[in-house]
Amino acid sequence: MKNQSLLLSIGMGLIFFSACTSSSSDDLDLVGKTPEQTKLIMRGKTIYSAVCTSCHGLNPKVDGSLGPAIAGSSLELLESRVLFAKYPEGYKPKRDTHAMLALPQFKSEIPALHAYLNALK
Amino acid sequence: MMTNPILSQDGLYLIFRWIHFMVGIVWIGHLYYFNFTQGPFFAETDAQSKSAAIRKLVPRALWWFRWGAAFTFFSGLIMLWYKAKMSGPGGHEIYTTTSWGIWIMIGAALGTLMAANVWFIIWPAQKVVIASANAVANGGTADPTAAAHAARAGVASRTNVLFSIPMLFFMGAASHLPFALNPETSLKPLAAAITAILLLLEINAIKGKTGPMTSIAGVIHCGLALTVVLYFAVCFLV
Ligand code: HEC
Repeated sequence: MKNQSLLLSIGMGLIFFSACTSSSSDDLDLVGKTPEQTKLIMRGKTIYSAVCTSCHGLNPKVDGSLGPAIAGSSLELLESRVLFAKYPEGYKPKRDTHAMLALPQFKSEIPALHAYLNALK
Repeated sequence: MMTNPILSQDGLYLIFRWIHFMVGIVWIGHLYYFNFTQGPFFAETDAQSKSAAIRKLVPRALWWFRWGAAFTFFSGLIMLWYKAKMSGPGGHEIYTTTSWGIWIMIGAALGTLMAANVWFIIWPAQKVVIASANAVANGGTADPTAAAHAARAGVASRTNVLFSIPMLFFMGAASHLPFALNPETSLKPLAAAITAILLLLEINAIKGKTGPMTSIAGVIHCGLALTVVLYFAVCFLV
């Protein structure tokens, strides 16, 4: 019985702690944004959470387990890196590796990803 | 000093994932033990060994099995909630407008049915079987319904092996098989198709027989086939 309550308390503590971690739009600068822009930013955040987090981590401002921090990426960089696995002319990549394959299927989401990655506080 | 990574959102998510995997292994490990190891042993052993196993071994295995199922289910729920929370206000849209969401929802549907089968079919039926074996061992009479209960638990258990094969595929696909999805796409045809397929199989678990899942090779082949069917349902319907 004692063990069970201990386990339960640890579990509840973890859940409570996660509920308190900042999330949602706290990390976004939405001041002065139109509803359309906000919608695009949120779409970008959804796509980032669904597709990019496994390598870049939940927080784009810090390095992920495999990919580097990508907050503030330009549209040009996102297009060449995500769609073609290339870099813009003269751009110095943060990593020399080639672990990230091209994801050309996400062409239509590039504006949303760009909006999100550039709206981070 | 760097902030400790375990305290980041990724760190917390990892802890839930770790728990989910660990208790999931406890659960599915026992499921495969029951189906691949214990079943064939029961089929050929003598009555006395079988009775001893039902009274002393099966209850222990079932304890890990059903609590593994419960903890896997709840840690999975927490991960679903946390992922949505991390993807912003209206974060639940991640379930319906991304490939992650579609894959994980199919995996979660399979896992939920499996956990329900454990707690509402297999465990109640096995309690009758164990009580009957105990009664006989103590000089009493066997419960005449014990064999029917064992058979029902067997169908539900085979169904869980069937479901476990696509379940793991889809849960793994969520983070590792991304595809583009137009957020305006209606998911109703896909939801209807998946619901219909899973409902039929679940009705079979509640009322039917093991059919082609009777042999071990049979249930594995059925699981692979179900994975292919569900996968193509997603390819063609979204
Ligand atoms: C399979 C893991 C993986 C996934 C998934 C992934 N990335 Fe990457 N990404 C990397 C790695 C690793 C690098 C470093 C270069 C390399 O090794 O390819 C990188 C580099 C980048 C860069 C270049 C950074 C720089 O300035 O040099 C951008 C931009 C980028 N990723 C964006 C994204 C976006 C947006 C997504 C989601 C749509 C994504 N990545 C998904 C692993 C990944």
